[in-house]
Amino acid sequence: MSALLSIRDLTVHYRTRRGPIPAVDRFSLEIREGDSVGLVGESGCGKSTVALAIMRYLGTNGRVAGGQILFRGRDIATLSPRALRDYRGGEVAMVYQEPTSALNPSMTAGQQLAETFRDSDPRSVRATVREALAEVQIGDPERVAAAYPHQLSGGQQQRVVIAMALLSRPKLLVLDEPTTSLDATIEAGIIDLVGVLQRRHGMAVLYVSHNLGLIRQTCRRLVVMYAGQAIETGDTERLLVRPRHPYTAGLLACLPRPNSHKQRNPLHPIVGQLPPPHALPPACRFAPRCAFASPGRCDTLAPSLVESDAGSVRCIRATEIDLSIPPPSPEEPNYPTTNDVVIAARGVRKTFALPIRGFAELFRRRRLTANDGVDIVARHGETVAVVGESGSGKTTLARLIAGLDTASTGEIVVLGEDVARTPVADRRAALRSTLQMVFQDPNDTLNPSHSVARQISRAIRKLGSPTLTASARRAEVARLLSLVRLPPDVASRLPDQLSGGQRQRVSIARALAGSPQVLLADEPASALDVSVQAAVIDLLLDVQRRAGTTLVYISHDLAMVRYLADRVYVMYRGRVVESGPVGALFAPPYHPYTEALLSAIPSVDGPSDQRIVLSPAGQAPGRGCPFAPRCPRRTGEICDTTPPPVQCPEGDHMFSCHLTPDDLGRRQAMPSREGR
Amino acid sequence: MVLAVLKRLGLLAATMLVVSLVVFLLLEATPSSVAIKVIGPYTTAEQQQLWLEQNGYLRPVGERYVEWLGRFLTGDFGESIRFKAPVAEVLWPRLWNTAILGLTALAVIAPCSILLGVIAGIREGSPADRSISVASIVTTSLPEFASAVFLAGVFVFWLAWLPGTSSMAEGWDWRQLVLPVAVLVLYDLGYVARMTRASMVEVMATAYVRTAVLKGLSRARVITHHALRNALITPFTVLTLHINWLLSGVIVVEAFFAYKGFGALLLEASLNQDIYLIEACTMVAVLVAVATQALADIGYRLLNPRLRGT
Repeated sequence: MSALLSIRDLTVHYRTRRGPIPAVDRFSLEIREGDSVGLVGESGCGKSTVALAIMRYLGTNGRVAGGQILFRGRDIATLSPRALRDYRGGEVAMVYQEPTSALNPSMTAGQQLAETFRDSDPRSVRATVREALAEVQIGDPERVAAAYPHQLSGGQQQRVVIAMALLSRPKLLVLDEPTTSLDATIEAGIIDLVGVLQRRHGMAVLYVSHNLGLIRQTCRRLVVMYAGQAIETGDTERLLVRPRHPYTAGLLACLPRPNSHKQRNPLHPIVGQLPPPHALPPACRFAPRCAFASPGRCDTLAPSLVESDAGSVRCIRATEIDLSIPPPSPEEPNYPTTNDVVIAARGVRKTFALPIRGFAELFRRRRLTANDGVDIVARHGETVAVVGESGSGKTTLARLIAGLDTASTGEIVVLGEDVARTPVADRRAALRSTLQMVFQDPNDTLNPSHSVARQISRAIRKLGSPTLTASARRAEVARLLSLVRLPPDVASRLPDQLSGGQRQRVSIARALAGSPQVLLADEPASALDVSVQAAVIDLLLDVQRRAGTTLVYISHDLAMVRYLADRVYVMYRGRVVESGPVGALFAPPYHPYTEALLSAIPSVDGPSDQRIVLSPAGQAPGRGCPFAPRCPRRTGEICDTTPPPVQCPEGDHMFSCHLTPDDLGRRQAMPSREGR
Repeated sequence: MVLAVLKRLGLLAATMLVVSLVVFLLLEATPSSVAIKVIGPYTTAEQQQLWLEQNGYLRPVGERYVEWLGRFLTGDFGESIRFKAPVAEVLWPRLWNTAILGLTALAVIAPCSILLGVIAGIREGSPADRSISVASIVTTSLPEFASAVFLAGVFVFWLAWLPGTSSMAEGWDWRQLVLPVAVLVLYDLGYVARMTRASMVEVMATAYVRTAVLKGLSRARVITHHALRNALITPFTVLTLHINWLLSGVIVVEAFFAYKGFGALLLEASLNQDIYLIEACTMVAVLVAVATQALADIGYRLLNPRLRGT
């Protein structure tokens, strides 16, 4: 097969006030017709720049400083404006990270699809649009075509973007983190869809992602990037099983494996962080973070990409080091727990009034039930995970416990006190400092104009010791920073001058100021890179080990939950559908919803061909089981009409379903008939 | 949407009611001061008492307010002291004059500022962008009276092309309108152009404009169909709010060119303590402000599909 796209020694510079900075450095890549290639690396490594360079779209400050990109042998830098438009619309198409912002908010989906072709007959245009939407498995193309982007769900928006990209039957589809902002169950659907379309149209696909599990399912070949350079390439299976570069091995060690747990196998985050492009190490760019770096060699000799049968690798010690043995863990992890109940919520219900539409609603507001009778218990020193798709009510529950909202009915007992209807401002100071929250996006939760020291000392005054002298408070800030493994000079910096991972550590340090007994963490790592994610989780667990903190971990990342949780609550549409110890919950029999969530976990090992793709949420459930409209194991009418009974297969493992544990166990032991 | 419009109109009425109460209480709550303003400070206490009695000012405040409000709603604002004529007869022609001045200015400002803003915003940092941005800052920072003096110096005294006063003493003359309009345009054009530019720059950097470019659309289509549609929301709102300023805030220009408009009337009324005229002018100015605000709000909703349903 001939090369469809070939990138030769591509160097891209961005113009900044400090002069040009290299974002991509002599990068080469070859994509053949129908091939699927993955491009992996931390954010800032240059992978998106490569994707945009392929589209010849580097903005006003980006410039190709060397090398060339050939499409079918033609240098795309030489294309005339007219030919460039045909190339972008016709030969290569792109799918973006955030479908919400990639679609024009003031045009309907149909209009945005229709404008790509120059056919003037409106009837045939409408038919083509409908076909395109049907091809990306959108159930009601007519409605979606007439809808504005904000009226569509994230998954539907991404399907529209994909439909748009495919309209002109491109030879190459570039996907830049296409599912990062989507729920796991929706992600599974999009990934499957791209696979189907790729096979049907025989196009080549370039997948840009930091999610190795995802890449594994979709790509035949991988390129790992670090600090603007390719550092390892090879076949996906080989590269994930026997990585040859220490960085690739490090990325893999950051991921929780299916049968690992915090008690047995700690995660191994890569130490340090990506060097900024204007201060790159002189020789091997990874050397300062590398556990295998040999002084005198790795910091003086710049390694080159060495080709071999198994792919290429940029490491001078590639043949001497053995990456298969994991570094020994420093200490036997020991998590002190007792049976004291720290949080007990019973029958928590929360409804929100919806905006008024129409006259009748002036008098009878419609209400959205975000929590519908939730019971949860968390004991001292325990990690309790609450999982579910977005809209399942898990964040609402966290906000109720934290007092950012108050419950409509039900009780939430925190350390012996019912606080269900006490907003955080009215809570006792001791209770406030003992229950702290870590939020999803550290960019939004730190004040951009206050230094780190100022934000942490404020928390010390408000939550810890209000009477400390200025110097004692400074010492306390330093202690908290070292607790979250940040160097002391971070104290004087502004949030803008920190990386995402560092910011999240600062917000954890702030939460720790009052020595809390309970930490509520709402997706604390989901906005972060894999390597940083591992470090943040590791830090939270470290805090828990030392202080016996109770951790309530809200997440949709089931791989991580399986790794760190002691007990898990699975929420669906405001209700807990299954709960129990992590071991029981992650083995059959499970609730059909849990089963679907589990099957959607992209993993880097183990079989990956049994995914259950759920239809998108949306249909309002009847009076019966809330999951019935989407349930692949729906038994009959009883699911729609009767609320399912709570069943208790063993211990404190329970779920609500009309099927008995034996029934479910038998069906789930067999290969799923829905799987592909 | 209909509900939103009705809600906005209800809010408008409520605002007007509150303002009317404030105006009434400030100016008419103490009857003796009204008498002094109307029949003069050199009258005796008996004369004032008699006047108050004849004009019904000795009734309770509440009753007087209701009656006052009723007269206002029917367009009867009382008698102007200075002009010795019904306030309505003085007010409406003046407002009409100002409307001509303001709308002429707006007709120049709107297309020019949007065009300049879009040209500047399409390519941030281009030579066109820099020139337009600098020129906008310079013209906007020049106060109206300074540019009025400057323009009059050039076109009236040096070149002698245009008349220096715009009182329209010998009937309507478009040449007298040129300088006041020019001053207003000079002052406001840069501001709106800069708002449009900022909005355009922001939109050009969005992911959906990138999507449109990478779909292979022509540059013209990307700008007209994707960028402009979203970038015009801000200047539309700004321009609507400027109607208010053009109708009731052009006091300096009208005074400078002796133009018989609403702003000059407001000034004259205040200087002469012409109480009924002040009341009427205030209510009209507030109505203009609140109405343009409502218009801006409703327009914003119409332009932004995300707000249409709510």
